[in-house]
Amino acid sequence: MRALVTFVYVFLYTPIALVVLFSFNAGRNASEFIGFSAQWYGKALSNTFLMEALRNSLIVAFTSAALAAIFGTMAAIGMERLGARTRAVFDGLFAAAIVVPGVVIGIATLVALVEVFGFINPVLAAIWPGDQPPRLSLGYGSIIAAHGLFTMALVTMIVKARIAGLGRDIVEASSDLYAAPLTTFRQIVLPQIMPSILAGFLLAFTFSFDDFIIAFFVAGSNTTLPIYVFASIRRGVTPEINAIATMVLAVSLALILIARFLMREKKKPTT
Amino acid sequence: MTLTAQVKKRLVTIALVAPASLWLFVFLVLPFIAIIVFAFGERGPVGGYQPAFTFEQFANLGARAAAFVNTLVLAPIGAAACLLVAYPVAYYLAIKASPQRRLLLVSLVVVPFWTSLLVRTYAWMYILGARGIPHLLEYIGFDNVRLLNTPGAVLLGIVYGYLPLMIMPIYVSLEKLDRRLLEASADLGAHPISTFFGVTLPLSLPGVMTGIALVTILLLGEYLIPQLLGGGKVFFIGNALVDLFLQSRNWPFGSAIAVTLVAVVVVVLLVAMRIAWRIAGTRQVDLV
Amino acid sequence: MPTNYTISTYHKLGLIDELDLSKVPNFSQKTENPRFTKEGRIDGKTYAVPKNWGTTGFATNTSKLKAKLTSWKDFFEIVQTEADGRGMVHDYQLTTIGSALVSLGYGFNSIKPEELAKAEELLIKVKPHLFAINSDYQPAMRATDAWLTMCWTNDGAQLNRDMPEISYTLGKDGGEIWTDYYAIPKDAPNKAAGYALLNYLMDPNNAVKEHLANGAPTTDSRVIALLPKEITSNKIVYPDEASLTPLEFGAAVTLTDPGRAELMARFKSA
Repeated sequence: MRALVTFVYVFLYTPIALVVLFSFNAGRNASEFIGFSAQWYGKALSNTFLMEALRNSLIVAFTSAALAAIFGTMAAIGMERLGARTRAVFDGLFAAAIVVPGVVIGIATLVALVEVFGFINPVLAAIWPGDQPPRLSLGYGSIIAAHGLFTMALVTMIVKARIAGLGRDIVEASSDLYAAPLTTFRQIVLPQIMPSILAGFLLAFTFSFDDFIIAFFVAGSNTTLPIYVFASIRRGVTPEINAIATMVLAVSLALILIARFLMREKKKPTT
Repeated sequence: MTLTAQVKKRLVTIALVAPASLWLFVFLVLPFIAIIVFAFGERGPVGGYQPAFTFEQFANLGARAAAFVNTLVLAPIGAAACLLVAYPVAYYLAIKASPQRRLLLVSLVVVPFWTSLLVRTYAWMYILGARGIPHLLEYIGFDNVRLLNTPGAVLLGIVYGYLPLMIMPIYVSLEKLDRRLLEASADLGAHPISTFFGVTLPLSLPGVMTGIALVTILLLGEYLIPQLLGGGKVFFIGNALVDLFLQSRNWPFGSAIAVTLVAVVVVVLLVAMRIAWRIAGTRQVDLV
Repeated sequence: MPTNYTISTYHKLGLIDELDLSKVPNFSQKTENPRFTKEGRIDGKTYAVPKNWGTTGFATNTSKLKAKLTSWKDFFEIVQTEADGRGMVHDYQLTTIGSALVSLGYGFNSIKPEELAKAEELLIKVKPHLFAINSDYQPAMRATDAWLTMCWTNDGAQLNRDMPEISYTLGKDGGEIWTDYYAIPKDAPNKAAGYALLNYLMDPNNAVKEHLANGAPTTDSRVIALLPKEITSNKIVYPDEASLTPLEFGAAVTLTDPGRAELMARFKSA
């Protein structure tokens, strides 16, 4: 059994080890290891297309995760106060947003936005006073919106589960003490649900940062990191891609460790 | 409570759910209506969509039968293969591993998620490609073995990509399992194998079901793994959709396939839920 | 950057404007080979100027394959036999269906349903023997995962330059010849810059650099004069006139034909 488990871990980590190894390849090719060199890190960091793709991905992931965290938490709290039937409709829609395959979300958003833009752009052009009317088109906005749908549903689910576990008595006990609801919320509820909001934000960020298929349909002329990587794989990868992947891995590992450390610090007094 | 307070409370509630409602409507309901409308339309003269009302697209679904068959065969097989590999790992983590090492080992299952799946799948293209394993095989006398762009390679990629998603729910359900039950079973003289099949496995079934449902549903919409490890030859519904929307530009037919795919997902989900309920139901009966 | 067969479609859809050649003084109609400029002109007006031209043949790894291939008929034969599991076709209906048609003795641009049906039959029969359906064949050829692929001139020249064992062949039974053009989209936000870039690219001294980087042959005799001898004498880049005669330009109807688009999609999903 131990042997099997060891084998699975080797299986999981061999490709990652190869990615890291080839990021230090002295050769031009990502499939033949010649010797050690850190040159691809320099090349990756000075490749403007790659850096722009990375920046786009960070902007998109951060914005959609932040929107998802805020609006998703609001929805989770708001749904507590809805009637059973309305709440069921929301539950169903959020579940649909999670379950519908990414490829369908991408397609449906593309189709809908193309239609909506086709309707709005001529109207804008007609009513715009200046020479150059703004034209709506696919880009950052559409990726953020499409990612936001899935991640908002994700945050809502996570926060709702936490609120359900909270126990109404805490909230009610606090309002019995004649605290205004907003103060109750800030002092009692928010600290309790904060870990789940953060967890939701992180999941949302990871999802959006790694998503290829939705962005592939709705990115328009913008390139995200996964789209850039996909195109490079087709043309033949240089170790630049390995270098950037290794850096992303290193940064996220550092973040996990920091998060672990912070949570341990916080937990100490209570345990 | 005065009326105005009630009105105020209702307004706050509406304000709280308004942004999410807007999102759900504009980016879920509206797009879904759009593809349903498109699915009844016709392909424009140079691709795209032109309005019509026809069932032609749905009648033509048979033209993508291979993609549906590939997906509906390889998704459950992939999920089953994941399960076979994941269960022993989850079991080891939850029951055998020492508590100190458990945290590290569980984190190690999750870490691969932090590198791009694309890059990791690309690494498999290298491992399975002519300069990877086939090159090593040449040393022991097997020339020109081809692994890449075969259904086997796609299956391997699936197991690799989705393994953590299968391990985690099973681990969670096994970890909750009351260890005294295992001890009791052993004390009563049960053979470890019968303890496993009589106690451990049934109690971990909810985790197993969650894992299978999760992996199968995600696989139904898979595009990247068959594209990269199947060379465009092992075609999934996801690949057919990318082709129809971005290459052959037959949007109405693509919409019909997308609608059908969603229907398949819903059916799979309902079946999974029904099985899960049945498992939960029998357990309750057992306890009574 | 439209290819010959898309220009008339773009024109019909109103996507491109007539070029104001006075803003492109570096363009010289006289030194252009008329074979490659024809499709840029519609009703006597110039809508696009040529970038470069090329052919669609196939690349063979001769250290892996012993067979001598000279035609598309050979290609589809060897792909199922000696190169079983090692051949690639484009993920592009024009060339994949076109070459299959040529191998059966039909025209590259055929849209006749009965001929297309034969081509489909051939492609579906060949599919299980293929390595991949992918227009980005260079990585697979370089890694020797694939030994035989449909190939464009520029890729063929690059592959042969880096790996001399990879040869590039034009089908003696036919195939495609193409010209890529520059055009300016109707709704381009900055047309002045577009013209400036175009004029820059039409300067033979700059065009020659583009040529050296990309590898596809030029349409402009002024550029040929500036090229080093090893390029102008490279038979992959500048093949004999005789080997070009059986080749056909892709036609606009071929590209927009829904029957061919759907055939390709069926082939891919088979």
